[in-house]
Amino acid sequence: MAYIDVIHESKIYGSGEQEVRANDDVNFEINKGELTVIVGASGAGKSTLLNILGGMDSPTKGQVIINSKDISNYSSRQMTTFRRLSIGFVFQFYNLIPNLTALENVELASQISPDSLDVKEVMADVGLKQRMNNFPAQLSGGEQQRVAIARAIAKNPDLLLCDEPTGALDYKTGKSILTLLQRFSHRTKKNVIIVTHNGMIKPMADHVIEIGDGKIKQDVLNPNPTPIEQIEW
Amino acid sequence: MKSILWRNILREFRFSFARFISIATLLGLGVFVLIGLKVTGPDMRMTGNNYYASHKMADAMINSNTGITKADQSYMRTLPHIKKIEFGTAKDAVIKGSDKSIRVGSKTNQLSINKVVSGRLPKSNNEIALSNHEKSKYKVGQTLRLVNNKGNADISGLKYASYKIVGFVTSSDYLMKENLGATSAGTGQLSTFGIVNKSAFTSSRPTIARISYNNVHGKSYTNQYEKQVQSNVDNVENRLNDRAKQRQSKLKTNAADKLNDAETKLTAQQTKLNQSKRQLATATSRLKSATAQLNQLRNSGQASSTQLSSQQAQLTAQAKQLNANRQQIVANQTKINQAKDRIVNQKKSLADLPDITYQIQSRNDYNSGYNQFGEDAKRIDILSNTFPIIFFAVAILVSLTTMSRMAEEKRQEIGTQRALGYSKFDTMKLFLIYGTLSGLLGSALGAWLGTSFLPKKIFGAYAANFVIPNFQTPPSAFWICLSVIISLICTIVPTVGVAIRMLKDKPATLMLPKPPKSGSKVLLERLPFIWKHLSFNYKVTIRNLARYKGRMLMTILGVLGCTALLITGFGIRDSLNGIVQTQYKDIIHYDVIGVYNSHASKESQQDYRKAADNLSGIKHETDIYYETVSARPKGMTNNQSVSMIVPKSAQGFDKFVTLRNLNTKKKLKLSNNGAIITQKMATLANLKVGDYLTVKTANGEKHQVRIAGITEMYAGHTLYMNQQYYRKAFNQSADYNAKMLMLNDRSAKNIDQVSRKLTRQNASITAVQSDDAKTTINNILAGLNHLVMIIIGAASMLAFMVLFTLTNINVSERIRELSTIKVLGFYPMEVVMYIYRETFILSLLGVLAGFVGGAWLHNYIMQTLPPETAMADLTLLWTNFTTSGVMTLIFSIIVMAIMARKINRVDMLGALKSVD
Repeated sequence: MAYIDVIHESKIYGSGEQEVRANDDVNFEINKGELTVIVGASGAGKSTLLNILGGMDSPTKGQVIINSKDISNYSSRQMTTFRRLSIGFVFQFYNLIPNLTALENVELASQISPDSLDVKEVMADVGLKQRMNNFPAQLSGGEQQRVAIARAIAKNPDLLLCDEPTGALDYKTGKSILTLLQRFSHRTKKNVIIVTHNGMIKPMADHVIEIGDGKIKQDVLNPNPTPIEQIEW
Repeated sequence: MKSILWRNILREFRFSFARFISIATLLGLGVFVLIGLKVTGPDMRMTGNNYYASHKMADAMINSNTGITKADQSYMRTLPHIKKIEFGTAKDAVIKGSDKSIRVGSKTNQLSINKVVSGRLPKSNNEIALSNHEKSKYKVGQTLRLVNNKGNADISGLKYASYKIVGFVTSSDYLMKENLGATSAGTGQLSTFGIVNKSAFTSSRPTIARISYNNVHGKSYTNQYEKQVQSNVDNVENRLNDRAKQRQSKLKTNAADKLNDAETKLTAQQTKLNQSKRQLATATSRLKSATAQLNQLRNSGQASSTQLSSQQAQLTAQAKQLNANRQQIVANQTKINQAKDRIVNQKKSLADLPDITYQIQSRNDYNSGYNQFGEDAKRIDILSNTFPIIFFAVAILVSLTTMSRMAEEKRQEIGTQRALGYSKFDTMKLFLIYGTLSGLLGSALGAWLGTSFLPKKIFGAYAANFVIPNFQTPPSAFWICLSVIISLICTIVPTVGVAIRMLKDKPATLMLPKPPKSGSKVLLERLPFIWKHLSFNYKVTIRNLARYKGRMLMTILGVLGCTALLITGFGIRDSLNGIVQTQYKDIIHYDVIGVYNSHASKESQQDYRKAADNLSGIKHETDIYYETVSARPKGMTNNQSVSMIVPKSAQGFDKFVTLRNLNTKKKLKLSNNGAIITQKMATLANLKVGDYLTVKTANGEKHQVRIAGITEMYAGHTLYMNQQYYRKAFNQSADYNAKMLMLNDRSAKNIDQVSRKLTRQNASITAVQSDDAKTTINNILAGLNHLVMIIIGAASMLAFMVLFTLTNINVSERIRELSTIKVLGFYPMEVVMYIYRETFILSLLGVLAGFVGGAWLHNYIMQTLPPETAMADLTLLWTNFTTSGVMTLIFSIIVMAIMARKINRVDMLGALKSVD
């Protein structure tokens, strides 16, 4: 059985004339350990999908089964618990807490998770061993995103969700961030889902889902993902 | 044109309604307390002044203990600055079938007139008009029967004992509803008054002269008025005393002359009698020799028997005559002796004749209600100098923060508008309109409630004691303008100031977000031994506290102010209540002082003492000398009435009154080298041990009293001394004129009964109940309690608004942070605590600082708040602190609950998507 199973999932805002279908009868499966890229233009519904997968929003219709549990009808509290224990988030804007050092930002996440990883090790993993005690304002954009990733990883989540993780970064920095994510996925055998409008990075993924107008346009598996260094865009 | 700009401004009101309302409420509270407290005192005085003016209240009054003679009346008419003078009389009696005493006064035409509420004024001598306050108990046409202290319908000084009630009147002489003054009738406390014709009194000599002056200006209670009247009074005081002494000495010389004449006559009579006695003796010896001769003659037998018998008959007749003469002489001697005794007695009683007094007093002294009403208004003036400042300071502080924060939030919007080509003025329109509206709304609301609601509430509490009606609450232009200006400054200046500063930047810069405040290490981190032991959450909290230093300070100051206000409010209430508690539990143990006339006949004085000794239910009793004297410490307009008590036996006096040092509670003893004065009088007159206090007796004599000790006392001024020192200071020995009684049953009812029994005695002057002062204080308390409750309410609301506003800013400023941790999987409570921990710590710090501030404020206010005759216990109860602290923290928790709802409704995704 697949690790993630999305069945007839729809997200509908409003009703009647004003009805907007952000996700319209979405169906796909993601296997354990896959690095998945969801691509689509702005407003295609990819972020809605990510939010639903991450337990930040509930679908209007259909089922979302993650690790054999249907999260589509979770209460607000259940969703919070789900996020707390199973999900790591990385955003386009790093959303670090300005008043906490890099290390503390990571600790903020690790302290609420029962089987969190060693914070300092994680920091070393993302290459920030030397910058742990700096405040976000003292870090570059790429460094900040690394902190954000470390914060997501430190909880030791089953699923890492990244919403345009390179959107605010330059080309080179963006590449290194993606490398980090790819390495994490392959090394830990954990699922990483990256949502982006940049179709050029598709080759790095094990699994690519293209979305448009709230519907799945394409769903392909890539048995031989290309290392990021070899991808140009 | 630019209608979109207006629409945007309108929308701002809708979107930030909570902020708009909280700014208006904060300023409204400040204005409410400021205007309310500032105008109540003046409003009360104006209302009082209207009442006095409508009754043509006399500026001063001369009271005499005997009738004022025609000659003295003409003399008084010639005193300086007199505009009008009217003479009148008053007698006290008891209403039949009750304990209530009534003062029956003569109708006045020019000064201190009575206004008819219903019915009419008396026309014939058996008619009476009663106090309007009695309207519920009596009807026009009913008969009012009066009795004297013994229950007989024979009232000295009044022609009739029963009167037809013809109307109900108001008076400026009696301003209190109960306890109109001291009296010799009934329980010693005057209950009501009535008005009769002048000719209803038996004596044509008046005892009262009411005076109005032609050189006084200004309204009642103004310095200008009070000082002028007092100086007029002071100027003629000595003259009147001299006049009284002259009259007294004339009276005495006349009486002495008469006695001397009688004595001379008596001496002459005695001389005559002595002559007769001598003649009698000669006649007797002559008779004896004649009898001897006759016997000789008879023995010699020379005379004839007829001759003998005729001679014998002659002698017998002579002897009879002499006998009659002798008896006459003895009778005359007895008469003379009796006359002599009479003269001796009369001489003695002449020496004991009570001093005639002509006591002139200003309104403050002759009318305790006038003084108390002024004092009550003054209490509010005193509060108005502290409370509003704190209210306003907190309101200003918080609205400044909120409004400048609002301008900061609009940074990008201003940038966009500028970039689109709107003028600088256009971009500021929002702030100008928003600020003006919130400032105006707040101050208008505050001004309205402060002008009518608060003064009316406060006056309502006082109206329970005073008869003064028609409370006037005119809006005060000065305070309203001031409030509006301050409010507008608070709302407009910070926003416009911030906007102007921002507008100096190029629109392009403005459109870029302002980088968030970067974090930094806090001092505590340099102390690893503490920092290491803090939990992660607390580290975060401490960092955040350090990050928003300004807001941290605002929260602490705001909470400090509110807690201090609450503590002071509760503290004032308890301190005032404590006066009565301490005073009557720990200090004063006696219940009644029965004062009698020491010039009354020996028998009636003895009767009085016997009656006092024979009363049942007496625990202890002692003889004392009691007199009310007055003192006016330097720099004060009002005379202070001081009770002087000289116990016959200083030993055991502590059973009746505990004399002790206020601070050390060490017992004080009466000594031969000075008197013990009560604390408040010592404070007023700035007296130390060893200083001298000048006191004035009723007949105007001034004496210097050395202060040997200062004793704790909360209500009333008293001077205690032993008889040795009294003799030294007053040059006369104490003439014990009172019984101090301590009862087994200390209920007011029993004290009244005992008082009644005492005043029934012939020699009785009055009964002074130790709890008279209690009633006065309780009256003041009732008024202040009301005010304090309003202040507590307002302070609570302020505390709530402050916490709400500051937390609201904190939350909206850090909405991203909150969304982030929400996404990380913090449970709602954890999210709330993440931010609320800071608020709570700040509140806690604020509460602690508020304890200090509250203690100080309470101490400061309680020094000045109690009336001149009372002092408050300055110690705060620990419950004052806990209640205030807990209340503030509860407000903080309620705010948290409201914020929790807001935080939980935050769209975490929306917040995270936006650019920093």
